This record gives sequence, structure tokens and C-alpha cells, in this order.
Amino acid sequence: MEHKTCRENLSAYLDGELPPGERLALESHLTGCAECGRELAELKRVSAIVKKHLMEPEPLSLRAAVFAKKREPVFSAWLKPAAVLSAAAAGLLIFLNLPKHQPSEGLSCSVGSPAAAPAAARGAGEKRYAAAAFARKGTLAQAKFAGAAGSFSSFSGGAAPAAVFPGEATSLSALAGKAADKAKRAAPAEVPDVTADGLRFSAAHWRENAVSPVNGGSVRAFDARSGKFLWETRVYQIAEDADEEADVQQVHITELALKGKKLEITDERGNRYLLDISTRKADKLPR
Amino acid sequence: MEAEELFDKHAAMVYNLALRLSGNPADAQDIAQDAFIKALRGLPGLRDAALAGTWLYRITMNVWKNRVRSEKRRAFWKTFSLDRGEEDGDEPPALQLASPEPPADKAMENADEKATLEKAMAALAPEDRAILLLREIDGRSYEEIAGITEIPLGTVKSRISRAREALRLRMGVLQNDNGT
Repeated sequence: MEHKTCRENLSAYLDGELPPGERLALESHLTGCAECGRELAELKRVSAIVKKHLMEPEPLSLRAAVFAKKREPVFSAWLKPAAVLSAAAAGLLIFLNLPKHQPSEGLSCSVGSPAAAPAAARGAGEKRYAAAAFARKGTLAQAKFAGAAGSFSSFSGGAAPAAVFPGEATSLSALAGKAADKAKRAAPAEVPDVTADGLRFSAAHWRENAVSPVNGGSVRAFDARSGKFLWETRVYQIAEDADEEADVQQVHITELALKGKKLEITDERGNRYLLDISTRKADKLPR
Repeated sequence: MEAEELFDKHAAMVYNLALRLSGNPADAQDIAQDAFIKALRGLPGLRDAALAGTWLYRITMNVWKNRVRSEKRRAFWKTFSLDRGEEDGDEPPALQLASPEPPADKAMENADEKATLEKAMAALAPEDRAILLLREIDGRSYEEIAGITEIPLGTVKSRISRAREALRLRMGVLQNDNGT
């Protein structure tokens, strides 16, 4: 091994990250090169100092800050529609059960969701207000449902009936079903792993990165023998619309297949990609 | 994996990663806090607890990147603002971290060594400091570091090598200046 290459590889050698061939060549060079030997000793010394001093204790207030924030209620993307619909339906049912002359102010005390009751009680005339209130305070699904609830109220003439009639209940459940369909998707199908050259490739439906709520499109590589995680790469990007529920935007992988030294990936929309395993670069294939 | 377990296992590393990236304890706490809050929200979706560290450190990196992006935007507008503050110096300041015990004899030597390291670290790029931390303290492989930082594997290797070399040279100079 050349002296220059040896010096460049000393750090990786120290970390045990050189392939066996290069490691042997470097060790052979080290036996006859005092300069590289000194350099290696210096790198070891620097590494020891870094190990000794680099860590700082985390502030005690960090735990309190994290868990105080965490206690604020947060619904997962999959539960949001159910929670929203339950609150809205409860508000609507309470409204339908009230006598005609019941003042609507009382409703805001009866239900958990602050905007659902006014939306139902005030009818179509104020549905835009309620939808806007939801848009400010809650999710888009809530806002959409508030708008729909207003329409339902105007259909029944804006007057509060004394009881829920079968026809109305059916309309309500149909409405709820329609809204739920719009705000959720089925779980992605299991994709069989593919193994090649000592590596096992797996479709990562759930990205190990919660910064973006939109999942899908990643492939993970593991050591086939030990199962050790090696790397993860995003094969395709998914355009993210902040106004839509994250789960309905997800485009998951449906198939992995080996094509020579490359991995062919098919997504739920029928798009195909070819991932070069060594460079981890993916190209979209023509349809 | 439970939220408390995730925090207990990774709080020190997440905070230190944030500290090395941001260069100051106040920002580090904010970054670590945001990273944990994001992670705890996504925790139910985490399928493999063995990947929790990699996942959490990547979130921390992304929180930091987003902050840098918004700071750059702020700095851009500040450039055109009439009430500009003082310009930053050429070299970033070394971390001023309180020592838990008063320095004496061996402790003094340690404190000097630590101060020299901090000065040398300040000259490195934030990502190089983070990479070094992941390697030296958390013992992450180059592959894992590439996954966490979203930097190509070959670049990770060369950056670790370059960072160590820079530290070695700078610490040598600083020690000579101090007459140690």
C-alpha cells in the first residue's frame, strides 16, 4: 500500500472500518513506516481525549419540558377521523334530541368538541363560520365535517326535531361513513423481503423519521446473516400537502424484485424504480 | 418501547448531538426537546425498537437542519433590515461549559485538556462534530452514521478522518501555545 493511501486510511483502520484486504495491506505498511506509526498513535490519543471529554450531562429540565409537552393530547393520524366523527356525531345527536325552543347556548357546555355543537345548532347559515372555526382549532377533516353537518341541518329545515328519526340516523351514518372514507386508508400490504449478496432488503412502510408524517417509499438493508440494520434510503419522494391528512397521501411499496445487481421497486400507483444497491441511487422506470 | 424508556436511554446522546450541532447549550436544549416531542408522537409507529436510536438521532439532525434553514432566512432579511446587529466574528466561539468541580492538580490538567478540545472542536463544521460524537461516543458504524446524517458512506469516512486530523493539528498548536 502506498504511503499516501495508508495515511488516508488510518482513521478508518482505527475504527475497524477497513475491508480485510486493505486492513492487511495497511498493517504490512505500518511495520516499515515509522511516520504512519506515529500518526496512528496520535490519532489514538486524540480519539481517547474526545471519548473522555466530549459528553456533557443533559440538563435536568429537559425531561420535565419533554413530558409536559407530551401530555398535551395528540391524536395519531389513524385515530383522528374516528375521534373527530365521534365528537361531531355526539354534538349532532344531542342537538337533535333537544326541544325546539332550547336555546343553543347550552349546547356548547354539553359536548366535548367546542365547534361541533354550534355548527349543528345554527344550521346552514353559520356553517361557514363553524368550518372556519374548525380550520383554526382543529384538522381539515373537522372543518369538512362541520360544513357537512351544516348542510344536514339545513336539509332538515333548520328546526330542531324532538327525536332522532330512522331516516335521519341513516343519513348521519352515511355522512359519517363518507367523511371517514375520505380521511383514512387501509394499512399497506406486507411486502416479501429480497436477499442478495449477503444483504436483505425490506420495504420500509414506516420511515424511521417522524419529522415528515407522510410514510412510504423507503427501502431498508440488513445484514442477511446477523440481521443487523445497515442503511435506509428513500427511493421516491412523496409530495406533501399540509392541508391533507398524512395517511391518505402515503404511497407504499407493493413489490421488491432483484434485477441483476439492482433492486426493482413497484409502488401502489404502479410506478417502478430501479435502485442501484451499491450507490443507493434510484431511477424511475418508464411506464 | 415506552416513552420514558426511550428518553432514559437516549436523552444524553440526543442532547449532546444537539449541543455539538448548535454549539450552545440553550439551543441544544430546544433542539433536544423538539426532537423528543416529535419522536414521542411517532413512537407508536416505530416497529423495531432496535432502530430507535438511529431514528431519534436522525430526527435530531432534521430538527437542527430546519432551525438552520429558518435562521438563514432570518439572517437574509436581517441583511436588508436597518437595525442590523453586530456582525459575527470569523471563528465560532468555543463552548463555555461549566466544570462540575473546581480544577486542582489532576483536575486542572483535565480541565485544560477539555478546554483545548473545545477550542479545537469549535473550528470544525457542526456536522463533523456530530459525526465524531456518533462515532467516538455512541460507537456507531460508518454505515449507521451515513443513515443518520443522510451523508454518503464515503463522505462519512473522509469527514471522520479529516475531523480527527484537524483536531490533532489544532490541539497540538493550542497545547504548544499554552506551553503544555
